[in-house]
Amino acid sequence: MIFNQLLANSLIIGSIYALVACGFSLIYSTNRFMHLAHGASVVVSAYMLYWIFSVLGIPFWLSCILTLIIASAVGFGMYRLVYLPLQKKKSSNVILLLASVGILILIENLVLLFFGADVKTIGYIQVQKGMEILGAVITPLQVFIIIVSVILLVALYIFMKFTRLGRNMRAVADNKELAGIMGINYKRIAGFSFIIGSFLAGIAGILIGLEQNLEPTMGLNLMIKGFTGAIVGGITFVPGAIIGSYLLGIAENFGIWWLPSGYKDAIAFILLFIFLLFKPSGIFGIDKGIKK
Amino acid sequence: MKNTKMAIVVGMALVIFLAGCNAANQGKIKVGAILPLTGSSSIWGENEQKGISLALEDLKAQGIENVEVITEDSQSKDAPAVTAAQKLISLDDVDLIYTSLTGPSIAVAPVANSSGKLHLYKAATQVPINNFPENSLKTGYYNYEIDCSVFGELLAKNNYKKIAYVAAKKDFSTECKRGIANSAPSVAIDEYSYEVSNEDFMSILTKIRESEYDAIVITGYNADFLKFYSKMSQLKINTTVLCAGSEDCLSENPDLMPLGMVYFGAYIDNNFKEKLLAKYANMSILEQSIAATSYDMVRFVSEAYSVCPSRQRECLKKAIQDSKLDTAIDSEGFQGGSFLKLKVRLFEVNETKGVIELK
Amino acid sequence: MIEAYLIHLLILIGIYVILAVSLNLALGYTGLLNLGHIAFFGVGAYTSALLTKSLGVPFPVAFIAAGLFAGLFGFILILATKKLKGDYLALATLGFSFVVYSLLLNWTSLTKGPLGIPGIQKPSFFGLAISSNVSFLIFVAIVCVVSCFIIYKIIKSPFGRLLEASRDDEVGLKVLGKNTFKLKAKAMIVSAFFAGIAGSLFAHYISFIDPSSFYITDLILILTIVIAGGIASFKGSIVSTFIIILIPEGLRFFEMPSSILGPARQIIYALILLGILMLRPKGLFGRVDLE
Repeated sequence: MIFNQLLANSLIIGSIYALVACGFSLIYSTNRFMHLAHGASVVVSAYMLYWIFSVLGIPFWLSCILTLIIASAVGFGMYRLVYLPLQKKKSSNVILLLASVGILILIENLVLLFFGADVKTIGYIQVQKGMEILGAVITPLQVFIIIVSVILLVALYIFMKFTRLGRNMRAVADNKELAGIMGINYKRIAGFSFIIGSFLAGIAGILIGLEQNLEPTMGLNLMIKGFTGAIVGGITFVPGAIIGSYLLGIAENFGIWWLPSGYKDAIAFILLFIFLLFKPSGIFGIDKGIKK
Repeated sequence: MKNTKMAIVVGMALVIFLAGCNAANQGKIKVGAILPLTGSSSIWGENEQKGISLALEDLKAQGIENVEVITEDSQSKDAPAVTAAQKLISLDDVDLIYTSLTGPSIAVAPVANSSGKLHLYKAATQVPINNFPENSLKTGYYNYEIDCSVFGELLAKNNYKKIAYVAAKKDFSTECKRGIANSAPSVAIDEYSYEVSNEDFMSILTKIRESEYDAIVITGYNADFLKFYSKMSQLKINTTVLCAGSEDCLSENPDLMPLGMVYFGAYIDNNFKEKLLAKYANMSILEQSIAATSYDMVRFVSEAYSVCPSRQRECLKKAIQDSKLDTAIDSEGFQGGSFLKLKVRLFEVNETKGVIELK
Repeated sequence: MIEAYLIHLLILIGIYVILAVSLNLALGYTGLLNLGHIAFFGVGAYTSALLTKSLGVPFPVAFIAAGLFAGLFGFILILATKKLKGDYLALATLGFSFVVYSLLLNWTSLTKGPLGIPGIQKPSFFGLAISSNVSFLIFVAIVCVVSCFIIYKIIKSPFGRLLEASRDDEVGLKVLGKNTFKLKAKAMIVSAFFAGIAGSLFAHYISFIDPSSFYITDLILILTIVIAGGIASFKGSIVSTFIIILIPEGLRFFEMPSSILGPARQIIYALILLGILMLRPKGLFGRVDLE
C-alpha cells in the first residue's frame, strides 16, 4: 500500500533527522545559542568510523566506541576553544552563530582535504534487501535507526526532567547567574551539554554513515534538516526536536507525493520559515528567551 | 592611513601578478586547461590531469615536446571558470582553451570566442558548438541524443510499452529523452526528475513500484546511480534498468548493480589502459575514461600544431577536425563535424555480475 | 598583456563592493541581521537576464527592474520577519535565502532550473553596446561609484542617524514616537535594490547564470567581507572586498596540488571569519559590535 510505504519512508528519514536534531537541541536548550557546527560533529563521526573501521581495519564495535569518544571530544573542543572565549567577551548570540558557521565550513573543508570529494561507503553491512511489513518495505538497519531514535526520545525526556544534571542544564539555560548563585557551575554544565550533545552527534554519524554514503558536504544538509526539525518541535524542549523531525519527514514525503521531488528541500525550508515567523517556540516549546 | 593601507594591498597584488607573467615559451603551443580540480566534480579534474600528464610523457618518449599545458581550477562553477579563462588568455597568453563540464564550458565559450582562441571542450552539452561554431570543438564525452537512441532501439526491439525516465535536471537528460523518443516513438515515457546529488530516490522508487513499467531509464552521475541501485534493492524492484551515464553507471561493488542493467559506453584502448595503470594504480573504469579524453585532447593539439606552426585558429580547427588520430577512447573521428563521434557500445551486467557486451 | 586579467578582477571587485556596501547598510548601520542578501543578488541577476533574453526588454529598463524587483523581495522579507530579533531574525533570513534558491532551482518553466540561462547579452544603451571588457569596467565603475555615493549620502544623512539609533536603541526610539518598522523597511529595500543591480551586472558580465552561484557558500563570502571590513564602516567594506577577492587569486601562483587548493580557499575564508570574530570583532575599520 502506498500510504504505508510513504509512512515508512517518513519514519526512516524522520529518524535520521531526529538523530541530528536531538543533540543540537540539547546544546541549544542549555546554552541558548545555535550551535550550527553540530553538523560538523556528525560528519566527523561518520568519517572517523570510515577511517577507523574501513581503512585501519579495527573491529567494528571498537571503532564505534572510538568514534563516539572522538565525537564528544570534538564537540567539547569547539566549546572550550571557540564558544567559551567568545562568551567571556560577552559576545552576542549572533556572533556565536556566525562563529559556528565558520567552524562548520572549516571542518567540512578539512574533511574534504583529508578524505577527498568522492563518495565513500562504510562496508560493514552488505547491500540490504528490505523486509515487507504491513505492505511497506524497510530494511533491518532502518528499523534499528527508528528504534534508536524512539529510545533517545524517551531517554532524553527522562534525563531532562528527572536527573540532576538535566535539571541543572535547564537551570543554567534559564538564568546563568542565578544558577551560579545556587552553586551550579555553569561552565561545567555547559561543557557537559557539549559532550553529551556531541556524543549524540556521534551516534547520528555512525548510523547515518551506515545507511547513506559519505560525502563531505553531508553535514550542511543534515544540519539544515535537523535544525528545522528542532525548531518545529520546539527548540527548548529536547524530546520535541525528535517529534518535530518526524513531522518534517512526514511533510517532505507526503508533500512530494504530489509535487515534483525537487521540491523536497523547498518544503523543509518553507516549513522552517513558517515556524520561525509564526511559532518560533515550536510545537512544544515555551516562549522564553526568544524576543530579547 | 587607510589610503596607504589600500595602496599597499593593491601594490602587493600587482607584484604577485607580475611575477606570474612568465616569458613566452617559444616553440611550444600553449593550452590553457580549465578543469574542475575542486568542487562538486573534482573527481573529473583529478583524472583529467592524469591523462594530460601521461600524454605529455608519451609524446616526450616519441621525441615530441611541442605542447605546454597550463592548468587552472574552475571549481566546478561558471564564474571562476571565466576568471581562469581571462587569466590564461591575458597573463599566460595561451593559444587555445580547453574546458570540461557543462557550466564552465558554456560560460567560457563567449570569452574564448571574443579573444579568437580556439575552444576545445569535453562536456555533455552542445551549447558551445551551437552558439560558436567557428570557435568551438567538442572533443569528448557522449552525445546523448545519438547515444540514447540506441536505448530507444533496444526498447522498440523488446516491444516495451511504458517506461519510467528518472532524469537528472541537466540538459543531457532532455537530449537523451529526445534520442529515445526518436527511435522508439510508440513508447510511453513517464518522467521523474530529480536534483543531482540531493535525492534519495525513496519517493521516486515508491511511485515506480506502484506502476508497472517495462523498463527504467536513468540519467545522472555516479553518486546518484549508487543511491538508486541500493534503494531499488531495498524496495525489491526488479525492473530492467537502462543507465544513460556511461562508465558512471558502474559500481566498484558488483553486488550493488541491478541484474540485467544495460549501459552504453566506449572501449578504452588496451595499450593506453596498461600505460595508465602502470603509472597510476587503482583507477576505476570511469576514471580511466576521464583520463582517456584529456589524453586524446593533448595529442590532437600536438598533431594540429605540427600541421599548423602558425597556430592560426582556423588552421588548428581544421587540422583537428580532419585528424585520423587513433584515440585512446574508441572513436570515429570528427568526420568533418564539430564533435568527436565516440564508438558507443552497449554493455550488460549479467548473472555473474560481470559486464559483457550486448549484440 | 596583464590588463585583461586585471580588468576582469576589477569588474568582479566592483560588483562585490556594491554587494558589500549594501549589506553593510542593512546589517551594520540598521542592525538588520540579513543573511538573505544573496537571495536579492540572485533575484536581480535572474530578473535582468530573463527580461533581456526572453522579453527583449532594453537593458537600462531591465537593469532598474532588477533592482526594483529585488527591493520588492526585500520588502517581503522585512515584513515577514517583523517580529523577530537577534539570531532568530538571522536564521529566518537564512531560511529565506534557501527558499529563494529552491525556487530558482525548481521553477524550471521560469528559470530553466539547473540548466541555467546561457547567452545573456552584453548591456547596450539606446543602441550603444558595451562590448569590450574595458568599456564594461568603466560601466561597472560608474555604477559602483554612484551606488556608493548614494549609500554614503544615506548613511551621513539624518535618516542614516535614525537608522543607527534604531540599531542601538530601538525601544528608546519608539518611545520618541518614531516608526522604527518604516525605518527598517526603507533600509532593507534600498539594500536589496543595490544587491539587485549588482546581480544584473553579474549576469550580463558572466553571460551565463545558474542557481549554483546564489547558494549559501557565496553568502559566506559576502558576510566575511562585511564583517572583516567592519560593521558600519563604509571604507572597511571597500577595502575588505579588495583583500578577500584578491587573496584566492594570489593563491593561484603558488604551486599547490589541486586537492589542497580548493578546500584551502574555503578554509581561508572560514579562518578569516573566525579570526575576526574572536580577535577583532569590530573588523578592520569598524566602530560597532554586532548586536
